[in-house]
Amino acid sequence: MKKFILILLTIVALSAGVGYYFLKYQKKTIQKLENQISFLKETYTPLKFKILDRDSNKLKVAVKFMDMDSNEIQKSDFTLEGHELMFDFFTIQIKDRYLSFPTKIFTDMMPPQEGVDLTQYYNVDGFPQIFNDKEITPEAKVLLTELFSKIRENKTQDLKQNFGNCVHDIQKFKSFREDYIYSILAHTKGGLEIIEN
Amino acid sequence: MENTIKHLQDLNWFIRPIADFILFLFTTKFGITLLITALVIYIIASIISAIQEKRSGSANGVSYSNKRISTIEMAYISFRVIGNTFLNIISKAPVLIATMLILFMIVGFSSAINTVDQFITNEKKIKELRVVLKHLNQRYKVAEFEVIDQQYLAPINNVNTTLKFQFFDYAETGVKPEPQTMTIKGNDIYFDALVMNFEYSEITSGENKNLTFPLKIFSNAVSRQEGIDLNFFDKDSVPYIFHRSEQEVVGISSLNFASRLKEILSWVKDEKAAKNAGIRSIYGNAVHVVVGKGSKNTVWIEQTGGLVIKSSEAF
Repeated sequence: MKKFILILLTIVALSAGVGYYFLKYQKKTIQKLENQISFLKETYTPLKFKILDRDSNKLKVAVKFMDMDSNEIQKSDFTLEGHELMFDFFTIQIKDRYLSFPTKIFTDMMPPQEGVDLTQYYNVDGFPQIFNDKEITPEAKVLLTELFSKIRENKTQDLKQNFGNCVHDIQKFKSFREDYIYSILAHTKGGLEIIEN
Repeated sequence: MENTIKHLQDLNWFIRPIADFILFLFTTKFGITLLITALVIYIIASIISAIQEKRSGSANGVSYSNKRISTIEMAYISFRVIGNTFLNIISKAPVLIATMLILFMIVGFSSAINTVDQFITNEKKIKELRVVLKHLNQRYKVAEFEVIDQQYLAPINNVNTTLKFQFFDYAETGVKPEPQTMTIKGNDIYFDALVMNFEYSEITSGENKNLTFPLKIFSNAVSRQEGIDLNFFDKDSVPYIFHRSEQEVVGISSLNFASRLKEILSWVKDEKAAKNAGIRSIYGNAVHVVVGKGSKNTVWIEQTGGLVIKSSEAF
């Protein structure tokens, strides 16, 4: 019995230790990232899109992913059921800046959980290529890769000051027009914006 | 300066109708037709008068009684009258030109007063709109929401969340008393809003600013189309968060504040007016967060960056 309790206590102590180390490691990652975000511009454009076709209940859209130097990463077409197009982002506050990662595309007729995952389109060897910049340091690259891996694996519960941020058109007021190019601007001081190019 | 403008406006009270009449006569088809008709009637009347004179024989002091006039003579009289009329016009050209100049000076003067008046009205409007936007563009809380219940149902990951929303009304005590309670399927709660983004606009003086109107709640398991509308607007369709107390609103009367506010809100549905006002984009923005029972979150409108959602404890 004593042996059993001792083993149990050891397991509990080890788990607590691993958990503590894990949390500390995460905090450290965030802290390090705070010192590495100077490369972030005030505004960047992670993606551009164009409505290719729209009928009563369907949308066909081309989405182009861009890095911070405005180089195209990848382009892909999506056909979705719905009237309004919605782009979902994972936003995390680092120091006084917000980093926004595109996560999903869906429509007003789709519950977000049925949306199409977008992270795969700008995942280059685990690094979120939308943050690629001439001035990015190798350390920031490593830290962003770690953060991105948590987002992709949906292990974001332990990250503080994060939230989802979704931008979309509203049919009742103003729909995205066919064959017009729209850009999603991510403001590092908070907020996303859609503008017509 | 204000007195001078007031005097000019008083003067324009009687100059403007004259100017409008002059413009009507000389610049509209109907006015020109009227002038030509008047000239034609004058010429016809002169011809008839000349013929009558010829018939009555009173011309040149010699008396004839009802002398018959031949067609050729009538034609001659007509041409003579028409010729004389045009010669008269040519001989009085300097007077006519001077008259025309005076008339158009009246038009110009009235138009100048109108332009100044319009400029001053627009300046006042822009100033008022700036004041309204300044009051709406501060960083402030939109709503607080608390998860008052969460029930997990079969199959796994099927969850119903009951939320209590507390909105803010800055004209009253800061908190709108009636909270809105709702139950929605899912645990990632989307707080959806409409955003109007001003930029490079005369109104915002080139600063990047947003106005945000919360619309509805949906979740990871409920599409936006099937989301729940927020009871966020007063009876005049003005969002509660845009209410301001009289003491708080400086630089504009509360009546003008309300009227300008409604004007800004109307731009949501009027693309042309929105463009004229310098609104660069109108779009939807939904911030969302995964919630658990007892968790409290606050939705903030950032002064420059749209919507942000944070755990209430973080403040």
